[in-house]
Amino acid sequence: MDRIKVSARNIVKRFGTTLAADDVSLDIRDGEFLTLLGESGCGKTTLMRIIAGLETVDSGSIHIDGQDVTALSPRERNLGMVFQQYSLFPHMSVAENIGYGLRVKRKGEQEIRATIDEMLELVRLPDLRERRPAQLSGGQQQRIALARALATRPSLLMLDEPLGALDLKLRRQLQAELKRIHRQSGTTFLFVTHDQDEALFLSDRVAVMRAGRIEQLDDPTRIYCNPVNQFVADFVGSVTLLECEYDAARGGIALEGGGFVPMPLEHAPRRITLVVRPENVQLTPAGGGDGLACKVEDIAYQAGTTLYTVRLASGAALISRDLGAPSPAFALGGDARAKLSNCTVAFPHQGMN
Amino acid sequence: MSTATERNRNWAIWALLGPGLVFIAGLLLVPIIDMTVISFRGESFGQILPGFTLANYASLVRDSTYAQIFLQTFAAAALVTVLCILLGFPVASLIADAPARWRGLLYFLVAAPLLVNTVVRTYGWLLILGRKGVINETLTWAGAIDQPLALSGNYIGLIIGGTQVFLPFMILSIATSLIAIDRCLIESSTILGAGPVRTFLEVTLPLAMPGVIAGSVLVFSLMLGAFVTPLILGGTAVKYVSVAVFTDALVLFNLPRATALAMVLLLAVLLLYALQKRALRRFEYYA
Repeated sequence: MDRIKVSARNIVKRFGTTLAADDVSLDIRDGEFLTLLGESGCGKTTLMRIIAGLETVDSGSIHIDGQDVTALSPRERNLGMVFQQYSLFPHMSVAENIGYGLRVKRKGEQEIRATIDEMLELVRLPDLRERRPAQLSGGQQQRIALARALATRPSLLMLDEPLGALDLKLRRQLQAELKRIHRQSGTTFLFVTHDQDEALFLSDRVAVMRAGRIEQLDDPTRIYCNPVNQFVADFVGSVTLLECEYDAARGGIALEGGGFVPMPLEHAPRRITLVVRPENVQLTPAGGGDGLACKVEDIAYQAGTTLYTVRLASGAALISRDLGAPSPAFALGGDARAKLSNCTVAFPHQGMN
Repeated sequence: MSTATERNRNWAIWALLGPGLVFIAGLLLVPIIDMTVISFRGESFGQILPGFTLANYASLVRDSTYAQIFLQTFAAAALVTVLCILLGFPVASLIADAPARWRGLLYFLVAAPLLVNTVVRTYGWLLILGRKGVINETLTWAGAIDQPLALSGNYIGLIIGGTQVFLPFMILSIATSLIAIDRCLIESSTILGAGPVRTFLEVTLPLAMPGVIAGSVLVFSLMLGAFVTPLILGGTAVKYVSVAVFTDALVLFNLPRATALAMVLLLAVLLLYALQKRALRRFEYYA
């Protein structure tokens, strides 16, 4: 059993008539990288700010390291935070920024200097000590902000879409950096993003949020492969949900409009929902093969992979992802066969909404 | 090479700028040059004499009353500036912290006194500060004082009146700086463990300095040149440069000395603006 670092219990928060937190409970384990994922306005940032103490709660409680901090101000919670906007103090050098929290906490001059060195080493920017924030690139600023937040050895480091203002390439780079820094520092990370790729790539666990509630809290593979409802399935990755019947006698799934996918399941209800991702669909030329008959509606080439959109007889559209350039075997409007493999199932069917 | 459309646009720009430029040259540049010339002329029984002389400036240096006038004027301007900073900062913070939709109203409330003519406003202060004014009458009625307090016709009246007149400029200037401070800077400081006082001194104040400096230069130079307030609220007890210029020019008809006084004041203000530019450069964090 993992130790619980932060525990939010039955948090309720209202802004006017909108419910930003609707009786939310969340346990963050010691040392994990947990991400709150959702669209803007789903309450993910509010939940983080409540944990930080930057927002008050209408009801509910926050415990950090077993201590009830609900009534404590942010400065008494020993936390770190990195914002989406560049939040370095513009009138201080990089070193002064990193040392700020330590000076506030009245650490010795020697310790402060040593920690600044250590943090600059951790974010791999040892040569920027005397620079001003305005002289740094966006990516560098966010890494220094990370160093500043980690310098005080916080119980929990919160990151509010810290890569949101950066371009895609830099984002990818910093995601890898973030993962390494998380491992190396051993600090518990609470991350907020609306980018599902980012969430799955970075996190030990992901909480998918909607309208002030957590829809599913799971590790990334389960979020992707076993979404608990349509919202989670739709939100994370490209997906087609096929409602179908489970045929226990034949050990597989009968699709609407014909077609059968062999797929032995235990304890499956009769009506189930099949989660079909682009990588689960193999396209073969019409004629031979045992896949489902379909028509090719669109072919799109995307750096290294080709996405085929096909429509089944039942009217459902599937997307198939293939490595390499578009195959001459498939033409727009032409017939093909789609074979489903390694699909997963969303349970329970009744719960889908 | 410029195309026909570009040439047309240039013409349009000059045509639009023209009236304004003529206005500025005619009504600002010409009088200043005229003033400069007159300040080097001699004077006899209200007549401006031809020829060049430094006598006007020399008399300013020689006569110690002028040193006193300048000292009192600069001291009053400095005191009003400091009071405006102290009184204006909290109001500016209030505006900056208010939701954006309330700011328009707050700005209006701050600027509203500017809609009333300075002379009217200053006489208003006389009704409050005078010997038979609201304050003295109230205090006498309450039995707190036997003799009315001397709140006008002296330095106190000048400072109170000047502060009220120029406070809006300071508030608006500081508020502009405060609004530009991203909230996440303040929140970062708090999360890093700093209390409100520390956050104010280490984050808010340094970042608000451009506004404080700009506001100070504005208020200081406006107060240096103030005329109605020292005349009405300062009375005869206060020696003020602008009042001295008025006396020299329109009572004693000594225009050369009046212009020499005005030139010194003008140079002081210009020097101040130069210093402001240098001071502001220190606070250009985002460049």
